[in-house]
Amino acid sequence: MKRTVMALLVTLMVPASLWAISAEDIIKKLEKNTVTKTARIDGVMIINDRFGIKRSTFISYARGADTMLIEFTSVEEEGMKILRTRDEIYLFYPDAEELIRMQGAALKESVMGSDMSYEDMTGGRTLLQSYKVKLEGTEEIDGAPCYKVSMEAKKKGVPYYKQIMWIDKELFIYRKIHKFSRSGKLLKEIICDDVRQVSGKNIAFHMVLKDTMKRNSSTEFVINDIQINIPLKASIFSLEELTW
Amino acid sequence: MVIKNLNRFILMLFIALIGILPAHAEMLPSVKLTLMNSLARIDEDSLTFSSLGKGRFTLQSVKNRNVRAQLTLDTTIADTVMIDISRAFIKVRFPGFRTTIGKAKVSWGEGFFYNAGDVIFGDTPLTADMTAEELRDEAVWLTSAYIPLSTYSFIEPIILVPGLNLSELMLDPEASTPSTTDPSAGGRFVARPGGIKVEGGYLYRGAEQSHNPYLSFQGNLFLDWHLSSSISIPHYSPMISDLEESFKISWGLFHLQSLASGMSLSFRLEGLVKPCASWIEKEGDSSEYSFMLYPEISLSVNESLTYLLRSVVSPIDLSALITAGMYWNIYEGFKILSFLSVQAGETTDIYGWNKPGGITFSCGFQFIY
Repeated sequence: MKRTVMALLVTLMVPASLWAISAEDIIKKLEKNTVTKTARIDGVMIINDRFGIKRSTFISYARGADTMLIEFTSVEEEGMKILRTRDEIYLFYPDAEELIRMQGAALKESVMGSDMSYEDMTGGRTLLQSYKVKLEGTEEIDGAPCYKVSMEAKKKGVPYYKQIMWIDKELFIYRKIHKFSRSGKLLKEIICDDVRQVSGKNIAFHMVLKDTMKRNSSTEFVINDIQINIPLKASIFSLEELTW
Repeated sequence: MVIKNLNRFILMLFIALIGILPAHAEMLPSVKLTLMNSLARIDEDSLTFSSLGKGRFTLQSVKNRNVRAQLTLDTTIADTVMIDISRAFIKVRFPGFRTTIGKAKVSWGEGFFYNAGDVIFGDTPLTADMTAEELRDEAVWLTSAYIPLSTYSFIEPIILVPGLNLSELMLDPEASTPSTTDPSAGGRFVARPGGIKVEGGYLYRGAEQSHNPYLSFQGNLFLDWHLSSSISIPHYSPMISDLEESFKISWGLFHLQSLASGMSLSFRLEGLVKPCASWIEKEGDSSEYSFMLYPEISLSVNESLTYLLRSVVSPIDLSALITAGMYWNIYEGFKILSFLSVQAGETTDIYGWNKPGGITFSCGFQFIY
C-alpha cells in the first residue's frame, strides 16, 4: 500500500516540477527579450515636477546590455550626450564644451533633473550575476498576470541592494519594479505599459519612473520609434562621437 | 570712436541675425543674460554701488552630421558695451579624424581651478571671477586635429596662431602684426590604462620660445582625484634653474555625498605647488608663492536651490578670497544669483581687506533663452 502511494506521489510530482519555472529561468527569459544586439530609439523624456512639465527629446543608440549613447535633440539640451560603456559613464555638455567622467558618488546625481540617476544607467553584468533571485508568487499588474521576483545583491557595488520585479508571464517584460536600499527603504518605482512587439521583441513604449526621495516628481519615457538589430558603427560608442 | 562704432555694428548685426533665425532651422540661437547689482568697498571711506550686465549670444549650426560651426559673442554691458568674440570655429569630421579651425575652447590637463597641465592658458589668475559658473573658460585661435585611437584614447595635434589685433590695425594701419615665429604648436595623447585617465602633451610657445611638456592623471579611489605637472624649458640657453623655477604640480580631490530628501553636498579641494617659488611671506611682493589652495563646498538643497562656498587661499601669507553664493532656479532657465565676496588679509598680502573690492555684495538675475 505504502509503495503504491509513494509511486502515485512521485508520478504526480514529476510533471509538476517539469512545468514549474524557476526565478532564474524567468530572469533569463526577461533578459533574452529585453537585450538586443543593437537598437536605435527615438524618444521623449518628460519630467513632471513642481516647475511643471519639461519635455526633452533624444536619440539613443545601444549595443548589447551595457553600451549606450544618448544624444538629446530638444532645443534646450541640443547636443548634450551621455556615453555609457561597460564600466564608465561620460557626459558631454556642448555649451561648456566640457567632457565629464562620472565616477563614485557623483553617479547618484540625477540625469538632467529627472527621477533617473546616472547610477540607474550603470550595469554591465546580467541580473543573475549581480543578484540572488527568488520567485515570490504571481500577481496581476494592470490586468496582466506577472511573476513576482525578489532580488537581493550578491555583493557590494550594485546601485540597489534589493529589487522586486513584476514580470509579465506571457511577454517576459517587466511591468513594475521596486528598488530598495539596504535598509529596506523604497527608493525607485518603475511602471511600464504600452507593450508592443518589434522585430520579435516585446518592448514597453511607455515607462514611468519615480524617485521616492523627490516630492511631486516623476519622469516618463516614451518611445516614438525603435529599430532593433540594425548595423551600428563601433565608433558611435567612443569619446570621439561623444565630443562631436 | 572707431572701435565703439564697430562694436555697435557687430551687436546690431547679431541682434538682426537672431531676429531672422527662427526661419532657418539649420541654426540654433541662444542667449544667456546675467544682470547684477553690486555694492563694493573701494577703500576705508568709500563704497560703490553699480550695475553690470553680461550677455552671451551664441549661434550654432545643427543638422549637418559632419560639419559644426559656432559663433559666440560675449558682451559686458554697463554705460557702454564691450564685445568679445569668445568662440568662432568650424569643425569638420573626415573618416578617421576631425579638424577644428578658429577660436575655440581647448582643455588640456585636469583641474577645476588649478591645472598645472594647462600649458596653453597657464594658471588661473588670482583675480578670477569667483562668481562665474566656470572658472576656466578661455578660448584661443587654433587649428587642431582629433585622431581617435580607441574608445577612450586619442591624439590631438594643435597649432595656435595669434589672431590679428583688428582694433589696433583700424586705428593704425602701420601697427605690427603677429610674426611667423609667434605661433605655438604641440599635441597631446590621452589614454585610459587600468581605469586611470593618463594625458601627456607638449607645447612649443613661439612668442616665449619655450618648450612646455606636461603630464596629467585622473581617477577615482573613494574620491575623484587628479594630478598634473608641467615644466617650461627655454629654447635658447636652458638652465637647470629654469626647470626648477617653472616646475609646478597641481592636484585635486572631489566628492559628492547624497543626503536625505534629495539633497547633495559636494566637496572640492585643489592645490597648486611651485616648489621653487617663495615659501616665506614677502612684503610687497605677493605674486608668486609656492603653495595655493582652492577649497569649495556646495550644497544642492534640491534641483533648484544651490548654496556654495568657495575660496582661494594663500597659506604662505595667510590671506584668502572667500566667496559665498546662491543659485536659485525659480523658473526653467531663470535663476536668482547672490554672492558675497570678502578678501581676508593685510594690504601686503595677495588678498587684503583694505584692497579695492575688499568686500563685495552682488545680487541679480540670469536668464537663458
